[in-house]
Amino acid sequence: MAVKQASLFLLLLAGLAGACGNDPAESLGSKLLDGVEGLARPATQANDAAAAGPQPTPAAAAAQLRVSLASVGVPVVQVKIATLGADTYITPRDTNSGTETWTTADGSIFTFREGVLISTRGAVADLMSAAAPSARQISSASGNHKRSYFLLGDEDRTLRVDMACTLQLIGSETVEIIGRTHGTRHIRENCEGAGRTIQNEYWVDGLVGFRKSKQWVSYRLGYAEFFRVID
Amino acid sequence: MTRRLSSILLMGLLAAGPAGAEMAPSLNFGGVVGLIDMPSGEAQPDGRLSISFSIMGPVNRTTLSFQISPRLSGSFRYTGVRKWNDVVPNPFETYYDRSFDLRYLVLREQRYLPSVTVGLQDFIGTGLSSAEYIAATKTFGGRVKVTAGLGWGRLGSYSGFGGFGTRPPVDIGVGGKVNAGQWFKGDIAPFGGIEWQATEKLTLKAEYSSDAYTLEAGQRQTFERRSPFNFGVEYQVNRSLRLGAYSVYGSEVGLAMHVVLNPKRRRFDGIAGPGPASVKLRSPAANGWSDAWIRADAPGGDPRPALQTRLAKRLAVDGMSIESLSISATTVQLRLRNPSIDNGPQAIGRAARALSHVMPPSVEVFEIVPVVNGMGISRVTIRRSDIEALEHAPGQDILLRQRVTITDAGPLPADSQPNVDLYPKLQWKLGIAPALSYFDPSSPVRADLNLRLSGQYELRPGLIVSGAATQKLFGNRDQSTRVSNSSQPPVRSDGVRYAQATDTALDRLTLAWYARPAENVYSRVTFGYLERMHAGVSAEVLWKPVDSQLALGAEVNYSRQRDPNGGFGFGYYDYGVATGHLSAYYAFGGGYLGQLDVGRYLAGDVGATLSMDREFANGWKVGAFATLTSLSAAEFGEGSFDKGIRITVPLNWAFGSPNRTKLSTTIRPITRDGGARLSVGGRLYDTIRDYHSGTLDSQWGRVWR
Repeated sequence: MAVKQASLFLLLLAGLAGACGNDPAESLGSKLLDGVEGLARPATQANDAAAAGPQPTPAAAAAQLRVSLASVGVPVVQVKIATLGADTYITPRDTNSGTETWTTADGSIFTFREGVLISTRGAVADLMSAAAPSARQISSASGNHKRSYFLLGDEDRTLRVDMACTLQLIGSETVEIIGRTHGTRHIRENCEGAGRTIQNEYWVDGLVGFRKSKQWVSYRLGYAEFFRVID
Repeated sequence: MTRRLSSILLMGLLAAGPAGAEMAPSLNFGGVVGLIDMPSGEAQPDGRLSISFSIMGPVNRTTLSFQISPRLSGSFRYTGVRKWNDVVPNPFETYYDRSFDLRYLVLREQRYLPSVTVGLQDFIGTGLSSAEYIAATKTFGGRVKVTAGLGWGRLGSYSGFGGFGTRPPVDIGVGGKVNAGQWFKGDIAPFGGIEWQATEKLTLKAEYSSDAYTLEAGQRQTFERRSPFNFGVEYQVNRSLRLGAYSVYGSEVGLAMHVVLNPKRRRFDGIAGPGPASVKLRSPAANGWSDAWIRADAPGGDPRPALQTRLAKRLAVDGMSIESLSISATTVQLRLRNPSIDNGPQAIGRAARALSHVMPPSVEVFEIVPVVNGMGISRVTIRRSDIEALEHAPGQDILLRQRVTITDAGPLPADSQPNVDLYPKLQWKLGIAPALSYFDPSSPVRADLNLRLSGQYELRPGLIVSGAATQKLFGNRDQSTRVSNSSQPPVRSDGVRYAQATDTALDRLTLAWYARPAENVYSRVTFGYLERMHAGVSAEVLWKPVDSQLALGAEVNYSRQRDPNGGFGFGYYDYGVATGHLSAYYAFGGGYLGQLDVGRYLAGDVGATLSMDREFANGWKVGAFATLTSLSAAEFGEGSFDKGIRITVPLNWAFGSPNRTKLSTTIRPITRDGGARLSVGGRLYDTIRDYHSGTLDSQWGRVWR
């Protein structure tokens, strides 16, 4: 009885949506969460290409992947977001007054100011905007600064998260990204505020700025990691 | 392709993430914050909506609860007691009853003080479960909660001691009365209990109940109440789902399942879907931003058609289109149709970016006018320099809002170029739709599954033919024997007859005309088969300034009751009636909406309807309404007066994807003929509010999304 009542009560809240037709409100409904799935999809054509044929050695596979990524002819950054299970690539789309906007193949967006993440779009729990230190400040690996993250909070209201941060030089490290090693300085940014601490990490390579970084996006998403593969 | 709300709720459950670490309030058998069968002193977090199912021996309860404000909550409960006729003769083996509760959190828990709640249980309805209580709950060490309370009525029925006067007997009558005369009268009995959160997911509970179940365990002997002590264990599966198993009253087993939803928070907080195009910056050209391009002698002729084509392509990426476009050297007014993006500011932000790509540099002012049913709803004026400057500024949404003005849409500019591709436009949909009827004593919910063909044909802006027809696939609504016993014209209560008469029905077929007769004024005339039960003509006018919390409306209708067979005729009832209302709408802020309608209803009765809703920025809406008319309680029949609750769930909440589809339902404890209004589609207030400043401001966080 109760089970029947339970399922009926769910139905009671219901109404069926959808089906077929030419109503645009509906046809968009079938694209549900494309953004998330797109971002979460680890596949790239390069990956697929690398996976084809007889199993190559890891080094050969990396070299092959690198060649196919380089063939695109533009800089490529690998993005990993553990909470989404995302492992994908972004390429530059446009610039606006010192910011660079990069995009995945399916249109999710990451915007940086000299490698420092200032916003995301399509990462679902997005970072809408940020007041962040400059790359030069971070590279100095010293001093204090303030940071503000503007997130999309409950009920689509902007949630401002203010943090006080310090910079710390961890030391020289060699970073390997898809079969190539890079000498870097590892710098950590410790931030505290709104009842939590976060740590952004940067691996500075004199040639390109941040060769690798791990930067906080939002409460729900946590951190995104960026690896500069093709300069 | 089709998605049921139940599957949406399921997705919500799966995606709900781990349980919180703190000791959150939990629910009791009755679906209110409490122990096992007893209430406690706490409240749910603001805005939570819960659905609870519980079985306790022969008693099962289904409860919908809503935390209306941080302190006030309301519940609607449907209770069934089996074995009702085991010892006392009765036509029904199971007795069903509906009841409403209200609770108020008087005191929030502090360091040395407990949280304290005062509650009214079953305060309207038959009152058979009616009780009042004061309960206090204190948390110790984050893992233990202790509750103590005093109960009256049902909760004062076991081991009570003398209280304030004697409790007057329940005056059931036709139900639906507020039994204020009983409140806090008669015996008082203590109750209490303890909760121990053993692990993050597991909670143990024990309580002492002051409910003697006099009726169920005593007179009707549906179960044996051997002990006042109840024990149980609850498991928090995830943030939304909690299960419980109990040993109750020394004789019975209890089970409970609670689904707690947070309308404020979408599946992943934010919203999915590709990012927007960037704002295209103007190059600081040496000759300034010349307007030579639009002068009459411009080389290459009128540039506007080409601009319109390019803009249409950019808007189409987001599923939007141009209604009309007016371009001058400095200003562009885009009348925008947005059938796809759930959030007005996001649609406007994307349209502004599209304009930045297409408009020549001298066009500095972007006027974006969202259009619904051919009516311009508001005019959002954005300076191009502002979106260029703020695209990546910290706190960009607030900064932009300070620079944007939202005003009445105003008349269509004289030089505006309509989008000739938009009209006439046909949209259609073939889908599955359930039809439900509730609370038949022999079957609490009856349902039909229908195939539904619906469509609309827009002849020109504001002139729309629309219709829907259904074919029943299967179901049991026609098996009800509950024919109308109404003393009034059966304008609503003959649902069973309508279900029995046909499997194929024309639900509606109307011609509607929407217009903007004056500043701040909107109008609608709808003619035809307005709904399944009534056909006629309905005319409405609404006054609502863009930034006003107050709106005033008037509606007049003449309708005739349609034949049950779903065809075009009116012979069966031969009933026609003129109805109409004056309406006042007020947005109190914080998403609380009030509405008062005064006028004449379908059965010819005269009265007023008061509605209160709470609307969340993502489109969730939970509300209640009540109608009192010139019909006496006896004339109205069971329930005494019309009342109900209504819930709207937006798909964007469930799936995290931007789309405008919403599912709504209205639950009435009983459907009678008093206080019934025509169910005509496209009423103006809800049609226009999405793009007025109240709603736009509450959703503004997504203007840069």
